[in-house]
Amino acid sequence: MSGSSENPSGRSFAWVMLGFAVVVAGLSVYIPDNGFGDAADPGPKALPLALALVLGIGSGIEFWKQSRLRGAQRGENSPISSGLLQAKPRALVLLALSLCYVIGISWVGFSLCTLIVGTIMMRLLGVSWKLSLSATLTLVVLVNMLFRTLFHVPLPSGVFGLPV
Amino acid sequence: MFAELFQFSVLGPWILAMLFGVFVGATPGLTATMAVALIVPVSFYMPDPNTGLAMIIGVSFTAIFAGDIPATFLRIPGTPASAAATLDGYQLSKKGRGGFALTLDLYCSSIGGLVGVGLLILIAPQLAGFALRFSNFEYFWLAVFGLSMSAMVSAGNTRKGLMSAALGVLFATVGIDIVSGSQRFTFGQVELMSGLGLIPVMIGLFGVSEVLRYFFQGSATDGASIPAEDGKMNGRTVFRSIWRHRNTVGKSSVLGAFIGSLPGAGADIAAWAAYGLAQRTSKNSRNFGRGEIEGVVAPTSANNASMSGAWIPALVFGIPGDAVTAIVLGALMMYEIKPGPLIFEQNPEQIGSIFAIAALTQLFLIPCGFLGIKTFGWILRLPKGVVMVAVLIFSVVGSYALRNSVFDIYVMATFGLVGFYLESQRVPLAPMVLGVILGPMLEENLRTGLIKTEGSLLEFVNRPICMVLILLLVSTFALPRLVGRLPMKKKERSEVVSQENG
Repeated sequence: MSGSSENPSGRSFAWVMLGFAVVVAGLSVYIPDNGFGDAADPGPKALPLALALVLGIGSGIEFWKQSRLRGAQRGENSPISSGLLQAKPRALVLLALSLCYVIGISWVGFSLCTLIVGTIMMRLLGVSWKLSLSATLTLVVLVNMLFRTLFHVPLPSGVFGLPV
Repeated sequence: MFAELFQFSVLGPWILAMLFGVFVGATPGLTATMAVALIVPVSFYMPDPNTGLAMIIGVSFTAIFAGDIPATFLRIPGTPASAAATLDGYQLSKKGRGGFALTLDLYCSSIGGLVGVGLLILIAPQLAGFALRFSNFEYFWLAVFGLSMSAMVSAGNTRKGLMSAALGVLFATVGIDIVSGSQRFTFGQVELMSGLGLIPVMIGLFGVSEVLRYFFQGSATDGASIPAEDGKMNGRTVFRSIWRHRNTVGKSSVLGAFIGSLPGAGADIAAWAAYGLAQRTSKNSRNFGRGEIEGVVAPTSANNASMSGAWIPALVFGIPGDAVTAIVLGALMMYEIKPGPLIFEQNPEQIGSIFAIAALTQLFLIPCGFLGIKTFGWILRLPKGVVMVAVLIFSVVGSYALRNSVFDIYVMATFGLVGFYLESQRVPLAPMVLGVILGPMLEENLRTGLIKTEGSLLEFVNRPICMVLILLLVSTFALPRLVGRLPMKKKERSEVVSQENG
């Protein structure tokens, strides 16, 4: 009669926020007070604790709202959360490649890492090999010219110490 | 003096500097401050001081506008001041109206800048005197007012908007506490002692999360593909839109100039405040965040107006309104222009030049801005896969470039994942950015104020400007609710219903 199934996505969000609030509150307790402040100063812990409380209350309200919703109203999975629940392997590979790029850039160097990972990612996204390689190469040259040459930003050269 | 500005020796470097500003502003990770800092040494080689001044002023205004270009087309704010423009500009871009949105943006930036310059010329000393009456207590309420916008920009989900703002303020506490010197949430990492950088956080939340969304949605319809016909913008349509929203342009420009005149409150705060105010007072408030034109007009008018406003305390008292003006003040001193109360009497010619340059820059902004929009639009006609990977690469480099720190890339990646997850839960990201920007201002001024008053909160409410700010805060929340309870005319009711039915 009354649909009592809840939106798993909504409840999981509430749990995540509650967990985060508890962690923040726990860490805030250990924030040292160096004593350079003043008796009237609420201290460095006050704001983080207050915000943890706000997040805790917010997640509590979220739990309550989820429990009140009826089944038909709860099916509001966004396209993204639907995508997450039934993630295509290609999307997960792209995500993994992105993380490898971010981590690998300081080890392999910006140019080599971008050339390799960028080409593979473009290919996975349906771009031809020729265009992927030429586009990535163009981007690497462009970024080097702009940031390294013009703005004197030393891009990561990695453990191999490559010149580019 | 005015005629001298049109000589080729002045005009040439001036326009080139503005084009440089467009380029820097449109590149995520490069800020307007960086653009000005890079142009200042070049300007010293110019034989004529007017040329140097024109280059510096020109680059600052164009960089602020240009940040709206990637914000609209790619959802990556080029500068912090452009974050507000992503909300509706990007939505318009998804509907194939990115060119229209940016053209509107460009003209509104120009108008906002002109209004700001007008206020600068007419009432600089009076406004500067008023701005100096702001102390910790007033800044605290200003931050609260700004944060209250997070409820307004939450597209109907106030609770999640406030949670998002709370998260933003929480992330802003990472680092060394400015009042007591204690380390908060640094986990012993040296890189975290100066806090999480605003640029990597913004790039991660808006740009990287969008790339991740594209990965998971495949070739879904959303994304900023630019149809070929979008380049043919109808000027009449743009001007008609500006005329229809002239009140919003005017209000946002004045608000932006006022906020810019407050030391420490920059274009980013001005843009958000104008956006929130426009949403609150608009008849189409429900459309904000979904491609509402007022959502483009308000922040873009305000952020350029605030650049002019920042000159007010700078010229009159030598107190820079923002980081860009701080660099410019240093440059002015190299030209032997000493800011202060007597500047209008001692340097009338140079002041006149500055005013003329600032006003003409708003006009030259239009062709330079068009060039930037066309160039960017052309790039976006490449296959979607190429564009998204390019966005990722520039996001990484942009995050790294500010502090030459690989750690900032990790911050960007983390916030990319955070933004992706939160959006999947329909949590708006704009309030989080507001929280990161305004959190330090709120906490520092509250605690410093309490120290000054030895714990008494009375001073926070009994000062005249504080009372005005509290009244503004209450009225922006209460007034629309009161108006909503008034009986609607039949025609208005049917309009609202048809809007809701989309």
